Amino acid sequence: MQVIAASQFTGCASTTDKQLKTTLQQWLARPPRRVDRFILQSLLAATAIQQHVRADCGLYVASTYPARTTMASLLNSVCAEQRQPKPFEFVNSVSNAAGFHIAQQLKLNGPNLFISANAQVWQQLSLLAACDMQAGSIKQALLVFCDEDEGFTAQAVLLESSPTAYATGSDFQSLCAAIDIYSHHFSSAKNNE
Amino acid sequence: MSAVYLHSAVLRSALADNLADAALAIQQGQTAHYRDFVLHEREQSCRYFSLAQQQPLLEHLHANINSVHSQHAIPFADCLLIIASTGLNIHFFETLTQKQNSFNPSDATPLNQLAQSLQNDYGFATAFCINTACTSAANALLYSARLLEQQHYSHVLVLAFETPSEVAIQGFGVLELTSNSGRYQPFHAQRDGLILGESYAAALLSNEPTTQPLARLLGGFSACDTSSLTGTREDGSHINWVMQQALTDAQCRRQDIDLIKLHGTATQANDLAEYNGMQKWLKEDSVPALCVIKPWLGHTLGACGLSETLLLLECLKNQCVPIMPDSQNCSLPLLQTATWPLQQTRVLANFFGFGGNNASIIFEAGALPCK
Repeated sequence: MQVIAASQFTGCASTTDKQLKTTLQQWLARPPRRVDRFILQSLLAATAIQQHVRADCGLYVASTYPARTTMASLLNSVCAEQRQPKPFEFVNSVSNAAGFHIAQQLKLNGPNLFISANAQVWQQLSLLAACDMQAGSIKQALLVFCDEDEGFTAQAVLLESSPTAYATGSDFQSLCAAIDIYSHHFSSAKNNE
Repeated sequence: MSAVYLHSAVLRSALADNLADAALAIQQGQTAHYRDFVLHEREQSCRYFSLAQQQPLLEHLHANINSVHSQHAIPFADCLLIIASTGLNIHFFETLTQKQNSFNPSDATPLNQLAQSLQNDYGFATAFCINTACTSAANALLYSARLLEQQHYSHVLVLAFETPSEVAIQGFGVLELTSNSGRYQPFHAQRDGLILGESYAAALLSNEPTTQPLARLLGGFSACDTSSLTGTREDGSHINWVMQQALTDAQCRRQDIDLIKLHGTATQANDLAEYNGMQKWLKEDSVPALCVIKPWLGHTLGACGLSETLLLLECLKNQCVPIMPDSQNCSLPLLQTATWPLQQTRVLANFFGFGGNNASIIFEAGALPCK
């Protein structure tokens, strides 16, 4: 496998969802409606390199946290206020919702996994992708990782099967050492106004 | 795919405290233990298949790991741990919300926290969670097999569970997918939705057979149907394609399959899509037998890939298959005789989920050589 494209988006807690949506419109004329922050971040990382993605591509998404704002809203509705959850929040709370939206936008009908991220997240995503390449079900693999704590980072790496090249690297930077990474940093909302 | 072996299994469910008793309970015509919940703002009662005795999640997980280890002692340092669950520690979040009367986004803990904690406690080579909604455990089995095939680990332990969750119950309720009648009847003319279920399942996979493997996993396939976030194409075309790809991966033909375990959620849309997806199979000269498992366990969401598989394999070991009451009034020709005559059975098991994930896994019960 070799890395053929990569992207990285970073921002801070004050980066608004509107900023994410506006930037996403560079790549998607009609971004999906009623999606949460985690889905927007994942879509940004994936669609920024979509011109390299072919139909025979598997999708492997990882995240450190669940969609935190969605979880908070759901739990407050259901457990604190004894109200019904909003249907779109409930379906967005499923961790693989981000993978669904990426697959829908990029027209990927192949394997689509979501895993929890740990310190070896890039090795694990690469390993799962290699399994499907070995099985012959895909020729490309799009790996996406999101991490939102105080600020956020959303990264994507596109791998392609290659008989001669083998992508090595235990983290994003070393995995992408041989290529140019598309990078975008969101400054705080205040600075953008 | 090269076959791998599934063994050292554990299942705690609403039907029984262990796998053997759960299979026996089915043979004796017993049904799952349940509690009733009220859907918020609707004052409508909703059934949930729960364990008879409540226990903290971690106690279940430690008990299941120890039970697997007592059946087959393995060096954990060569073993990958995969957790398959949609809710993970949702019960903890719900308890915290009730205690604080609110939940802040910063209260959400890392998705890998539970896996990391178990990795630290037992010394697993590494550990992560797979969450692809109701195909989580099916994907855990499939990717375990692929990682074993490529010799990345000597064993993989799959822990699959769903705890009782107010968010899940209310969420499926607001989508109007839960049963009002309290009768779980997939494919039945009077089906009216799903009943969620609690379960804690575990199994070990390895390249080498143990003395009594439950089954060989021959292959499978998992893919995303991008037509809808909450369901698959109603015409069944994606389901049929996934089943076909699973056959190819397992190097089987349709006529090699003896029994199909349907996903069968009993929701209108899912059952219709699976009915349509099955039509090509029903036109074969030799139609495989069809069965469902959810009426006995409830829909155990991310765990169903393992909990339903284990219960079916245990039933097959006893040469019986679960028979749903009144199954003659179902759209698909479900089995109507409990006695299962075959010593070796090739099973195709379907699992479909939110996020468009559809998966089919092929097993050989009896762990005998390929046909």
